[in-house]
Amino acid sequence: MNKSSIVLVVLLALVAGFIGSLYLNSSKPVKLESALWFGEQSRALPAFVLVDHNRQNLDNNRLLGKWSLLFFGYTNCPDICPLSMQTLSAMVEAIEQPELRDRLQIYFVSVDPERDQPEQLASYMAYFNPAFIGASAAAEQLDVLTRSLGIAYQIHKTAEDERSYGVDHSSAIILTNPAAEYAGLFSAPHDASVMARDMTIILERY
Amino acid sequence: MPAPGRSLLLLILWILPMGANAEIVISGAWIKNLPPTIPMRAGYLDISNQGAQSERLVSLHSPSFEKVEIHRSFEQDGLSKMEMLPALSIPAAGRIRLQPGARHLMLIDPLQDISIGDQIELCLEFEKAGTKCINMEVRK
Repeated sequence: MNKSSIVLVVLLALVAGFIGSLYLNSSKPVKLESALWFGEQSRALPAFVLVDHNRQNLDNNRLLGKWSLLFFGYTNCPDICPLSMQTLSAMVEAIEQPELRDRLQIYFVSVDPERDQPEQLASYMAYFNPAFIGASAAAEQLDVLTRSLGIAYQIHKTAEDERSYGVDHSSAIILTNPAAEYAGLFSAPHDASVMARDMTIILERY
Repeated sequence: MPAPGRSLLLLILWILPMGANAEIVISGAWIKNLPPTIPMRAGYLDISNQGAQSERLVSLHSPSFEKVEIHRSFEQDGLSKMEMLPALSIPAAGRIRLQPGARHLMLIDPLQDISIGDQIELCLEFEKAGTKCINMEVRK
């Protein structure tokens, strides 16, 4: 490689880096590999209170100071929800730097509050990942959070099926920032290593 | 009956039972373990139809669960959904795979404690091949 082409490569790299930094600092949502990150358009959440698996309140203040991923599901969901729990565990492990991992908390929000009492959520978290926090609340409170995040759910409980009914729910995983604002989302399908790469970019930068 | 007609009839009578004798092979059967507080488990397996006719899995039964159903998890309009399937068709010389995040067995209300390493009997009733019983291993 001659001198002028080396200069050209260096210049191109500088330009690419500059464009890249503009992109990440932009006020528009940023599309990463699988995340849509709202950047400066992150927005405050209305006041909500859920109850976590230790019977402590999970409210806006609890989300302050860390990045959080909230995923929605229910424990009587033997196929998909264990997959999501495992994907998120693998995602956390795939974030290489422990100091970045420490700045992230995972929440499992049950959209089936009737069956998912705190004890049920506690045994589910203990089984899949004791570092995760499970939480839910009666519909009125739960809906304050789900509506503000665009999370939909529908409980298919009927008179004939009062115990093993299914619950449809949004598959998006929601990101909140250390200011407890709605900061982005990961749409399905969820891949642990892809999510880890995106989370690493976000955590390293902010 | 003239001779050619009779031999055709004999030929048909000889071929018919061969079709009815569809060969069903079940492999890779396992159950996903969950905390004991959850009254259902998902089960997965492969069904291979080595016969020359299509087959249908019409019902399932296990002595360790109150009931066993066929379910399908799927994604629609950003929603994660599940539906029950009344039966499963397996094409001639075909294979279907029940796997996490897709079609699976739903084992409802355990009649005993279920732990990792257990072998759970499952009987599958096919339209032509009749009932086949296998063991499913409970895994982490």
